[in-house]
Amino acid sequence: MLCAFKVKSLEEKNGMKVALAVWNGRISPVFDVSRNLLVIEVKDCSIVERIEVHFSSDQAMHKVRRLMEMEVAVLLCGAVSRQLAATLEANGISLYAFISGDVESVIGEYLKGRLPSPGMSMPGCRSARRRKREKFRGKKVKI
Amino acid sequence: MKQSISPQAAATILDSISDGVFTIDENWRISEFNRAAENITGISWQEAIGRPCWEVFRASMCEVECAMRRTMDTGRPVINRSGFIIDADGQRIPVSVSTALLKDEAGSIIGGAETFRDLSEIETLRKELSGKYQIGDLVSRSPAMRQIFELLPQVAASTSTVLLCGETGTGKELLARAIHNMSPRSGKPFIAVNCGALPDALLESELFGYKAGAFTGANRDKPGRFAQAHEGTIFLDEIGDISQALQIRLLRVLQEKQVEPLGSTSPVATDVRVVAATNRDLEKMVEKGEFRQDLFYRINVIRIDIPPLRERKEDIPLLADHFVSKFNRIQGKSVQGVDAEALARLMAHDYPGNVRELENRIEHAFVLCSNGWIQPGHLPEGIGRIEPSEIGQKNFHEAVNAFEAHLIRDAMRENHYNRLKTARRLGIHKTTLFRKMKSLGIEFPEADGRSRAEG
Repeated sequence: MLCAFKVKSLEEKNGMKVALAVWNGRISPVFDVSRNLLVIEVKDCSIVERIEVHFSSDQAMHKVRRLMEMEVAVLLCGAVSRQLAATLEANGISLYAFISGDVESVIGEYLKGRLPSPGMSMPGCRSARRRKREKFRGKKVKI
Repeated sequence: MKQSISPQAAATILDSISDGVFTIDENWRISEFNRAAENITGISWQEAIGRPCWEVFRASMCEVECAMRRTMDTGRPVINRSGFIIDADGQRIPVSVSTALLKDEAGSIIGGAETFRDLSEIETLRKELSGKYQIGDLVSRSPAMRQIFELLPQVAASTSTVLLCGETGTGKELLARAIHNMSPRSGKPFIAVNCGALPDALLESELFGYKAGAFTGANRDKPGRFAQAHEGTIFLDEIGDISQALQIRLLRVLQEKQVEPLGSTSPVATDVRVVAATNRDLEKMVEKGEFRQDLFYRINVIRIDIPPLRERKEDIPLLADHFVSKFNRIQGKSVQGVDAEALARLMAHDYPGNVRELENRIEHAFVLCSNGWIQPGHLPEGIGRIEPSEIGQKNFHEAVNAFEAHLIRDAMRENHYNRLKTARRLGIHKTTLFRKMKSLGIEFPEADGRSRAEG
C-alpha cells in the first residue's frame, strides 16, 4: 500500500499546498517521529510560498490535525507506519511515502511530476522478496 | 591476541547471529547487513549496502537521539536503547539497539557497528502477561475486546459511519468517545444524543434545531445537535428507537450532509461524523419493517459488536481494580481492592446491566468501605450469593428448586419486576417463567413492572 505511490497530474498540483517532512536538509527518515515540515504552495508548477512548520508533538493525531488545518493536500515523507498512513489518506491527504534524498531535489522531481522515482525511494520499497545473497562480500573487519 | 579473519568468514559469522547487525563506514553508509537484519527490516542486503543508514534502518531514534551518533561522539558504546523501526511493509517493529565503534588496526575509527533485536514477541508477551488493554475507561483482557481495541485506531482514522451494537451498560458511549478522541476530529465537539429518551417531535428539534417562529414558543433560533457537532462527532444512542418519519430525515442528513432546521427554508451544510449505537437487533427490525433498510445500510458501514460482561468474565477482576482506583481518586479513599471472597461473588454474577452494573456495585461497596479490602459484606444484596439457609440440608430436587427460585428472584429484582424482561434475562419464554414461578410459589408484587418501557 505504502509503496504504491499515487501519480498525480501536473494540473492537479496547481494552487495546492505540499508538505515535506524535513531533517538536516533531507527528507526525514521516519515521519512518525519527525518534527519539522516544509510547506510549499505550488501554483502553475512553481513555488509561490514556503513556510517552515514545527510539530509540537509526535502524536499522530496532532500531526494529521495540523496538516488538515494548514490545508495540506500532499505529503512527501520518508518511512511512515501503516496506521499513520491510513489516517492521513482517510483524511484526504495524498501520500508520497518512503521518499529519500535532499529536499530541493525532491521538490524539483515532484514539480516535474517524476515522483515516485527509483532514485528517490527508500530501499525495500520495490521488492519485498529476498534476493540471492552474494558471497565474499564486504570489507575485512576486525572481530 | 587479535586475529584477522577473511571477509567470507566474517559474513558467515554475522549471518549466524540472530540479532540484526549492520555496520557503517565513515560516511554513514551501510557496509555490512546480516541475514537477521534483512529479516527484521524486510530490506535485502543488495538494497541496503551503500545506502545511508537512516534510509535503511528507519528508526525512531535516527533523527533526534541517534545511538550511533552518540557512540561516535563519546567513543562509548550504547547498550539496549529501546525504540522502533519501520519495516518495508510499514509495520512498526519495537527494537532494542546497541552500538559500538569499528576501528582499524591502527586504532583509527573506520565506522560503527549496530546490533538490534526484534522485541515484537517480547512486547506481545508483555502485553499478554499484564493482560491489560485500556482505552479511556474501557479496560479488558478478553480476546474479543482486544480485537476491538486493535481495530479502533483504523476505525477512528476513517470518516465512515460506525454502528456500535451491544447490551445496555457495555460501554457503547465510552467506545464512541474513544473513537472521537482518537480521530482527527478530537479537537472538535463530541455530542451525545439519546434518541430513546426524547419524544419524536422533541428529538427532531433537538437534532436539527429550529428557527424563530417555527412553532409557538420558538422565540429565537436554536441550533440542533448536528450543528453543535459541526466538524466533530455526533453519537446517536438507541438509534433503533427513532420513528419512521425521523428515520427518513436522518437518512437525508446522512446522504446529503445537510440539515434543515424546523421552520427553515434552506438546508445548512454539516460536516459531522456519525457514530450510532443500539442494543436492539436492527437486522430483525429491518425484516419486520420497523427500521428502514436504506438507513440501516447507511449507518452499518463499520459495525462493532461489544460483548456483554457475562461473556468476558475474565475482565471482572481487571474492571473491579480499575473502578477501585477510580473511586479512590474521586472519593479520596484508600481502598486496597476487592478480597478473594468478594471477587468470587462478583464473578458469580451474570451482570444483565453489564459493566455499568459492576461499577455501581463497586460504588455501593465504597459507601461501606473506606479503606482496606472490599469484603462480601460490603457488596449489595443478591450478588452472586446463595444463602446457605436457602439450600441447607435439602435433598437434590429441593436444592435445585431453591437455586431456581434464587435466580428468578434475582432476575425479577434486577428487571424491576418486568415479567418479559425477567424471562429474557433468564433466557426462557415468559410462559416457562410463569410456570416455574407458580410451581416454586413465587409471586410478582402488586405493583409490577409491566408498564415499564422495554429496553
